[in-house]
Amino acid sequence: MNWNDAILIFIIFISTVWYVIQPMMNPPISNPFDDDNIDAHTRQKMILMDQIKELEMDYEIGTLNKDDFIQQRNQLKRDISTLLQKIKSQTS
Amino acid sequence: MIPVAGAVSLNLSLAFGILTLFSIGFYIRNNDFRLFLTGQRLSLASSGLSLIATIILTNELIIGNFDLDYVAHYTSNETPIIYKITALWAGQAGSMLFWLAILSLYAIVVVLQNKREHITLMPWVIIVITIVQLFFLGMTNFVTNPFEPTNADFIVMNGNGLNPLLQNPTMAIHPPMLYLGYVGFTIPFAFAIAALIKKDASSLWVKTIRRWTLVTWLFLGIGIILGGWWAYLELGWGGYWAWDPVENASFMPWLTGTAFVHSIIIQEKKNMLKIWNMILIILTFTLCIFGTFLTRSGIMSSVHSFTASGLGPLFFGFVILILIVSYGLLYVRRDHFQTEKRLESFTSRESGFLFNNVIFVVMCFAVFWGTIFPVISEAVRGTKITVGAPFFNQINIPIGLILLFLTGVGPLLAWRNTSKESLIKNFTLPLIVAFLSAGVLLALNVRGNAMMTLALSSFVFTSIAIEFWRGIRARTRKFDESILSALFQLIRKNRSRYGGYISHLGIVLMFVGFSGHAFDIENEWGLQIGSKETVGNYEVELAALSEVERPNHYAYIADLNVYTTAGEFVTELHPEKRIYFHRDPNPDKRQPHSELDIYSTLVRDIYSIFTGVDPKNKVGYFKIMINPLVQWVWIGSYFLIIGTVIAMWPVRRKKYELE
Repeated sequence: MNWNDAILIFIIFISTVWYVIQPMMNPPISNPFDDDNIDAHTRQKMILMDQIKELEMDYEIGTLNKDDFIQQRNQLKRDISTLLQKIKSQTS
Repeated sequence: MIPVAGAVSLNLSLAFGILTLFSIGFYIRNNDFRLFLTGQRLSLASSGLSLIATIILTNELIIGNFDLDYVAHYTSNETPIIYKITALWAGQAGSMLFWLAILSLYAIVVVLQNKREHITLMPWVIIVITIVQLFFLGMTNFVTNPFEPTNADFIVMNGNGLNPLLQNPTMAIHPPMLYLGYVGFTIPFAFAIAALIKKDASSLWVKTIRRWTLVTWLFLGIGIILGGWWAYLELGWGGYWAWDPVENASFMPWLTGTAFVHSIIIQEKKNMLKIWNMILIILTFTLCIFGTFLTRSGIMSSVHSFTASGLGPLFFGFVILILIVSYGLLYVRRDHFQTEKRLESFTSRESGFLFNNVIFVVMCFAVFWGTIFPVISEAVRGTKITVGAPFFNQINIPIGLILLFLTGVGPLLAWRNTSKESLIKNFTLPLIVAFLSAGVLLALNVRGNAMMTLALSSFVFTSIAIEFWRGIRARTRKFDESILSALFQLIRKNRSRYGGYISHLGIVLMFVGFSGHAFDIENEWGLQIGSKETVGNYEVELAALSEVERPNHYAYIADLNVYTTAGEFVTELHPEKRIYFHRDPNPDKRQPHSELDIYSTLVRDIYSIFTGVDPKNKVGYFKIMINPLVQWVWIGSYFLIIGTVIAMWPVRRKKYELE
């Protein structure tokens, strides 16, 4: 191994180790993010909103009858209301 | 760049990978978030180092450092630069490193993309990805290291060069696409295992992996199509699919992946089929590793296989480990993934999806059985009984036709239940079109599978056209748009659905292309300059025969004129007979290769192969094939790709308002 090799390997090693251990220099912290948070609820809400959109599309093009459409749409709206309540309670 | 830095990068990558497991493991135990951050960075560092090693090897291939055994084996001074780069995945050691590099790239994207999302799943996702990385790091460090020095007592002045069959532009893209597909399934698999461990049956992570799965599935599909294209353009047997074990190895995960791409929609929308989806993604990932095992172990003889090596048992062990751990975990967690909802009707879209899933898995099993049968027969009876194309065609053509039929049925069914009136209303026109097509085809004396395929294709095409027409009509009524604008908006605002339909249209066109195989014609003869022979409705004349020496081969070039039997000129073809390594004094090392020439139209291809040459008597030997409808296979592929890209394209979010 020549000097060039040694220097390149040393640089790769040191910079990687420094990058990796940096978080351990800080004092201990617990998880600042929580999956049961507003972000997760908001994403869940988006999924349900998309489903309502698709349901409307199905109804408009005639692959879904009116009764099924109303029933499924109401169910999705209820689910969204529950999520909105959770989001509201977390923000307040 | 220096090769030793590459080898050390691989060593360090392995060390950082192991540390990732420790760091995240301690985080899971102690909940000290710093350990998770460190684990994330260790994973990024391990992946980055693997990428550095790959870049270094690529550089050594380009500069032709024959001190490395791998470089000396797969490149030479004469190898064009593009094929020096593609030599990275031409051999065992390089392709393993390439596998690792792609996985590392995916790992970096997943870690960075989910720094703040899926925070309960991510530790396990990283652990699973790292375990897969460690397997490949173990291989590249200890079993098949691409940085091994050349074992020679003299200075190697030139390398062996790349196999001529691999010196084709398609081959520059086909393996990376396949690898992107194979490796990509690690990510949905990792999320699935993490969800099993954390008992997370929600649809949030499902939504995240859906796009990953589509991207991966698309890459695998493109890889398979390019493989077929390469076989058609390069191998000179006139076909694009031979049911070769290694082709099957990529087709099997594509089949289960296709089933998963469909059934995951049901989980996302209806919160159903959760256990089934777990089964499918575990199976798909296992088949990806199994496919790699088939290519590496040398247990199958195939044009694609690498030479027999000690990698086989290791890969087989890894496959068994994945199966035991994953399905064991699924069994333990099965109660958490039970679905409360049940299928309400046989005539619902959910049932259609489930039925299509079952058929995909059955097809996969048929392909799997045919592929491993020679190995089983050898183990049981001591004789290797090879299962050829007729077996696969006999089993898979009917299954494929059922799948084609279901492609048309799906859009005509409603979620939950389709009433009798709706069934009659939705199915009448497609069925009329299908029966009319069948009648016309029978009148034209087209029978058997070709007739069935074309009639079913017309059924599916009509059902897709109806879907588009209904959507357009709904928009023109509601928004007063022109038909073209309504079509554009329809696709733009419902990308997932209409992208899917465009992909289905692609599948229909591909099936139309497959049906052409029933009408293939071929003939073989020797031609002297000026003489003519007949194949089907065409006459082929050898107009001239010339020779040329190029940097890496010597070529005999034929000038063939093609006429109809009525004497009308159709086209000129220039197939070549090439001799690679022609300067090598050892005749055994010279490699002959037939470079094809094809005249392609939408109706048929005229496919010319220069099979041999007698330079003394100026006689060329040719095989000419008339292959109908092949172009539709490639056109269908474009639709499949475009449709999938539309389906997975991200939607820009607007604020919704509920009425």
